[in-house]
Amino acid sequence: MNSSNEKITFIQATVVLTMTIIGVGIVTLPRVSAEEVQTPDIWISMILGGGISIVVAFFITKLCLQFKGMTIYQFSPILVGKWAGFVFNLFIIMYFILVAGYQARSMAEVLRAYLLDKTPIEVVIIVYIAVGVYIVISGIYSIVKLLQIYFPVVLVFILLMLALSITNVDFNNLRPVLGGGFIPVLKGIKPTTLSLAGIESYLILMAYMHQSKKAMKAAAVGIFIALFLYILIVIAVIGALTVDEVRLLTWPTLELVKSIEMKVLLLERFESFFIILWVITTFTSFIMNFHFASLGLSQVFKKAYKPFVYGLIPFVYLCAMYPEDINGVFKLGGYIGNMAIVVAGIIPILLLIIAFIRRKRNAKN
Amino acid sequence: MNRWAWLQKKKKQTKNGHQQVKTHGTDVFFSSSLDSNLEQLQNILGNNPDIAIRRFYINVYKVNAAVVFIKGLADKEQIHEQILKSIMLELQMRECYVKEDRATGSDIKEIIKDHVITLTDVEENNKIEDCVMEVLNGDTALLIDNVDTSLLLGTKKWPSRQIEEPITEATVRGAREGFVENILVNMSLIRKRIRDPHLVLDKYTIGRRSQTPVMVAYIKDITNDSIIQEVKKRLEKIDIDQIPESGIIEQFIEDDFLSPFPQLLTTERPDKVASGLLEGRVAILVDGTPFVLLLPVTITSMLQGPEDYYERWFVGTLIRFMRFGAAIVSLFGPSLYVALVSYHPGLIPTDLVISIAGSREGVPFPTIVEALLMEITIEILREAGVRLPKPIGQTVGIVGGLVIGEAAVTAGLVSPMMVIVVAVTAISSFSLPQYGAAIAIRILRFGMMLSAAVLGLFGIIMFAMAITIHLVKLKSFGVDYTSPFVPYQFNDWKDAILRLPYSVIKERPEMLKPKDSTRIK
Repeated sequence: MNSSNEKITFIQATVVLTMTIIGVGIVTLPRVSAEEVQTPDIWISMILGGGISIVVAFFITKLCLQFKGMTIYQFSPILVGKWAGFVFNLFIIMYFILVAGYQARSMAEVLRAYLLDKTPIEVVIIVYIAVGVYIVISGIYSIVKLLQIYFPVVLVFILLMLALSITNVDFNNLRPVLGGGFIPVLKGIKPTTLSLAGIESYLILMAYMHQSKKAMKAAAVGIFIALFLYILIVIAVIGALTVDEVRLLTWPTLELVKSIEMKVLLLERFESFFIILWVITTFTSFIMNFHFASLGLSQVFKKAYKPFVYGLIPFVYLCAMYPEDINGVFKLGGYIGNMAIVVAGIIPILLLIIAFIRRKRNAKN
Repeated sequence: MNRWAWLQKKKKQTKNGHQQVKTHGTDVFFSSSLDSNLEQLQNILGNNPDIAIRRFYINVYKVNAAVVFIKGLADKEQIHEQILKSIMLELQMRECYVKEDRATGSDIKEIIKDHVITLTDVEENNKIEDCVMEVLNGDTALLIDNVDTSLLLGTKKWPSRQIEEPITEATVRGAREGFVENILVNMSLIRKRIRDPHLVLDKYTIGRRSQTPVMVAYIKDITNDSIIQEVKKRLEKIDIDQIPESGIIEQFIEDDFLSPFPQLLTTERPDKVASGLLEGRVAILVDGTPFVLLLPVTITSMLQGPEDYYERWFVGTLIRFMRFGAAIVSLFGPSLYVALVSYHPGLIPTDLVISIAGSREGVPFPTIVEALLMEITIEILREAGVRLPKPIGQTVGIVGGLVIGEAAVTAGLVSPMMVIVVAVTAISSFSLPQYGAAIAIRILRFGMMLSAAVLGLFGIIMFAMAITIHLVKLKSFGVDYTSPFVPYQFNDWKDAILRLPYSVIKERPEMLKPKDSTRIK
């Protein structure tokens, strides 16, 4: 897989991060954050969350710069010892598998609610995973190129959706600003930060980057694009539907899309376009996480990559099918959020501190 | 690519077996006896009626000699005027070159070579096998008694068709010249357009039995070396008995034989080859076919025609937009109809749903069956139209398209809406300038229809994703098939779907990594 002399460029690293971050959050973020914040100030929480993500990105890139050309799977045993590193790696791999399953299941749930109400969800998920395996099997460089194809598509569709719904947005629904004080805004920081989870991909991605020194910049740009799109979506959804209503809707963004009234060409309703966008955004996150999980296993056990991709299929499928109903899916989302704090926050900072102490000690000796 | 490596591995094994056979026959050289040499040649060439052996006597030196050639491949006129006449008549008149009666064999050979024969190509050769090869190519071998080498005289004159307008790639504006089946003429057609000493034509002979001449053309100081090396490496691995058409070479050297997409461009137009070469591509000419291969290919080449460049820039750009739209309609048309009508009627405007439902009333089949029925009929019609002579082909088109379509609707077999969808799709697929690309889209259209029938819009999305994934994985001679779109090569976007004015496109395509990138100064 690494035989070619390809490397991930700056633009590619940015695109990958944006596409990894933008996923299920595109339809759930307004509800999840509205539940916590309960005032229209979610966008302020978003900005704060973005700030936290960039700080996390700083730690992650600092950590990875110490081990050029190595993924976290390769350098964590060096740093904390064989067994502790093994446990760390296994935890991270579990996280990636769960995220992949969660993305697949959420995609299928929306599809069941809006497009294919009679098709069994198993069929949808199996097809989805099969197409995912087709790209995951060929490694990171092909995946990155695929994300580059989808990036403009996603961008255009989101902006189109927002442009069409602009007439429905009532900015009075966004007022008053800070009407409930700062407390609600702070409450919203956790869900909004977690919606930007995806920066942990740099723990692995930086090993394949052309100029890993620019990784911080790429991360910042990538987070910024995702944050910008998410804020626009939140503002549009809240503005059109009000906070109180958004809290009660399962898929608020889709309700916004449904409210768009227009007749272009043959299609009366914009949902079909949104479904395309939805499948693509979840798919990109899905394949990235799937790839990281299989790459992790192959690097932990120092074996070939492809068998692990095939081997992971049943696990991803089980993760996707594990939640019994839609509430179970959201509960899984909550667990994944907590795991993300560990994977993207605690582990990198811990490793960074250990690396720092070790270097100090080495310098003394 | 893995598949390529696997194929090569398999081929290598067979090749080793073949080489062993070849080493058995050691090289045989000419002896100094004319009779035994002629006998050897006769043995190899056999007693075929197209082989001519003309013995004669060189009066001045009192030696026997003979010319050997193939009737029809060698130019009789030249043999007569430049060889036989010179040796038999003019040598006698030019007394000054008669040194002595005791001139040795090699003296005679030198004199004949340097002073007598007035042909441009004269070569010495002492291996019988090589001599036979050249004779079979249309050269004439001159054998002299007491001389243990033969003189190979370039008298090639292969039968050739007149240069005509290319039928498969007609343009409104642009050169009317097309390649012919003769590689020598084709070479000259390219050379005529690029009078640059850096234009290199590397000769290969492929085909154990057919010994087909194959030329690899590129411009030395533009084309990237890695592409040239890759082409040569792959060509050298071909070991086949015969090359009837460049399509065989294409199938041997393409990257992925499971892909529906063409990985080499075939063209009959010398102007297209010339501009391809100047962009930094490599051309492969094969004797016996007017179709020249151009490589590497990227996805943009599928939507481009030579006229885009000859017309003014906005015409070219608009036409490209139209083709792009046509490609999308041709790929998605019927499957979208199937998905929307049978799965998601709610997504179509209400008025339209009612009229579609009305038109489908009485049709006994599900939409997918209806669609497949019509699509397959169209494909059969198209195939029938290609094979038939032109006037009958048109009749078939009219009978098939109009009569059958109309009758099928009146009989209630298909809905009129379906006929419209299928007709629009068919017309769209005709507008693609590349035959190979149109075929790829036709194949994928059926897959798309089936997945739409199984999973509706989701099926279409997943199938489209699978296509993009395949495209991302595909490479053509080390160049990403999706370039210049992905990875982003912004400079090349000026001449991808857009065709901006020449004052803006000043550089050769970056994706081909040319050594010299300035096109316009």
